[in-house]
Amino acid sequence: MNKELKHMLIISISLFFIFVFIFNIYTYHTGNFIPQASRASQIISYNRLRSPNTHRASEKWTYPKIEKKQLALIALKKPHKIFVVDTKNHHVLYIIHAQVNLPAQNHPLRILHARGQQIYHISGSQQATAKYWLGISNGNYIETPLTDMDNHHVPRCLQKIPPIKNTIQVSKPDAKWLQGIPENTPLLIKEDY
Amino acid sequence: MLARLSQGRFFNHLLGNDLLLIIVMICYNLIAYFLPLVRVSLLQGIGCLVIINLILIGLKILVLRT
Repeated sequence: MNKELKHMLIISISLFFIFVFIFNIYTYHTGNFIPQASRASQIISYNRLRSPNTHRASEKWTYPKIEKKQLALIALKKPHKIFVVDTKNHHVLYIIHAQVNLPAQNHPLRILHARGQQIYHISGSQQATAKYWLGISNGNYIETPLTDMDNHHVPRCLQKIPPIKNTIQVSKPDAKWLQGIPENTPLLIKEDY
Repeated sequence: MLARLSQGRFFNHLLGNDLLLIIVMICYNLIAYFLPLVRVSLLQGIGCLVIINLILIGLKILVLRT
């Protein structure tokens, strides 16, 4: 390799790693993290996130096994995310893109035993359909929307879906996976980090 | 000064350096899937490249002057 190119490579790669080091330190100290889990596990989950899409899983990774784990769900309204947290090890297992249409709560809700394939939301003469629903206490649901109240198919982009009251809307694969969450898992709804 | 640089092979080497640096950035982003490292976004990568190029050009000009 040419001597000049060698020197340029050494300088540029060193500068790049210095930049990356500073950037990592800055993000770990000032980034947005939930206090219930380690920052390292949150960063790994963020790195695996896809763009929000109703037909695809939220992360570019297989779903983690959740049997025999102490779980908690933390739904954040403004960032539009649900964190699935292993409370024993303080690890984020998965991050889900979500439209949280419930108000922030001081006390956690609970996941119910009730879950099913299809659900209808009726308001007067209007009806919306959703699939893979999971019941939450106080008459709320986690589901994946199929049609809106005017019976139109919902768009692919999860952030453009018309909201339905008392629901948390997620993508189809995520809703299917969330149906495996055990009963009585706490779900905490917060406004922001 | 820049005209003098363009006569030689400096900018060819700079381009080769940039391409190798892009490969290093892609490898870093792939490693970030497994380790808790913050990924470098496209804009940050381009900014990093521009800054490193400016530093290298500045260093070359300094070397030529001395």
